[in-house]
Amino acid sequence: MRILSESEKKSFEEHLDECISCQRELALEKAIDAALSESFEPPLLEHAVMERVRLIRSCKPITTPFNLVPALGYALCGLLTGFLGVTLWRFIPFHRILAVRPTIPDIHPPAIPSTIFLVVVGSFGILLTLGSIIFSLHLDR
Amino acid sequence: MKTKEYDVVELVKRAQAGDDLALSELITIHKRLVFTIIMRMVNDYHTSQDLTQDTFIKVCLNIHRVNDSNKFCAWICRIAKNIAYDHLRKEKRHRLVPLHEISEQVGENTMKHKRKSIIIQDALTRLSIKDRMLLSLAYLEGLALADVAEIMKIPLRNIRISVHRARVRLRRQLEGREDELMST
Repeated sequence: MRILSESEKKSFEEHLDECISCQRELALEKAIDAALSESFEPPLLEHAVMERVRLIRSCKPITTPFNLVPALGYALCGLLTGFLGVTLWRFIPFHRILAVRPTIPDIHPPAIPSTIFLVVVGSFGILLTLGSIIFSLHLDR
Repeated sequence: MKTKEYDVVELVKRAQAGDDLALSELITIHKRLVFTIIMRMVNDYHTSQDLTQDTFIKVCLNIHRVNDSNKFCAWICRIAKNIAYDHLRKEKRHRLVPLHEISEQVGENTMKHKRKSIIIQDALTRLSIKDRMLLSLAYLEGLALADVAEIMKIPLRNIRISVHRARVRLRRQLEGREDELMST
């Protein structure tokens, strides 16, 4: 922040003595500063916080069959996303969109999915399934 | 001030070693700061109380992650900021608390003394979350601008101008209430 020199400060103070508008402006700025610097009286919470911390520390994470429900839900979503995503990607006619048909051979998928296609889709689905299970277990904790 | 900082560093070390008394002392030292930040953001006494408690629970459970004890205060403020942001995101709307409702919360006698603060708080609630947080942090005692820049993830060279712009927007919200602000 630029600090006023002595002469600038003096001329400003002289101006301030005469100018009512600037006096008002300065008073308002000071009032805003004071109000923003005020803090709120906090409640007593040390005991409550420490009690809850002790309680949380004493609880070990328990895995029950119910924990598996959200995990399976995420897994199903992951699997569906994997299948749908890869299938859609496979069927998008990039060669037509990019208008490069004459130079690239037609790569439109065959009617029956190939083994490679199924392996790619399956792997993607499995990866998403594993990811979603880990994610849901993390949320559970 | 130096002694205070030294105390905090010592307390953090003791708390990391498992001393619950040190944790409790750290809460006592920082609760005003945290409560003020959250209160400025949320503008509701009871919600702020709950969120302050959540902040300190998170602090206690994760204190082992503090590498630089000198930045403990900034670390706590960052947690408080994230908790306040999460709460506001969940609320999805920033409820404007009318003045009469605030007066019910703080009590009539306190209201008379704190009117200036309430006017500012009312204007703050009309600002964006980022501006509100920036102004709350920038004017807090004990937080350097470098800390504010770190908490807000704003480059240090831009922090002054960001605060200035937020303040200009606050000033715009206070238009028409200047006399009221100065008279109290």
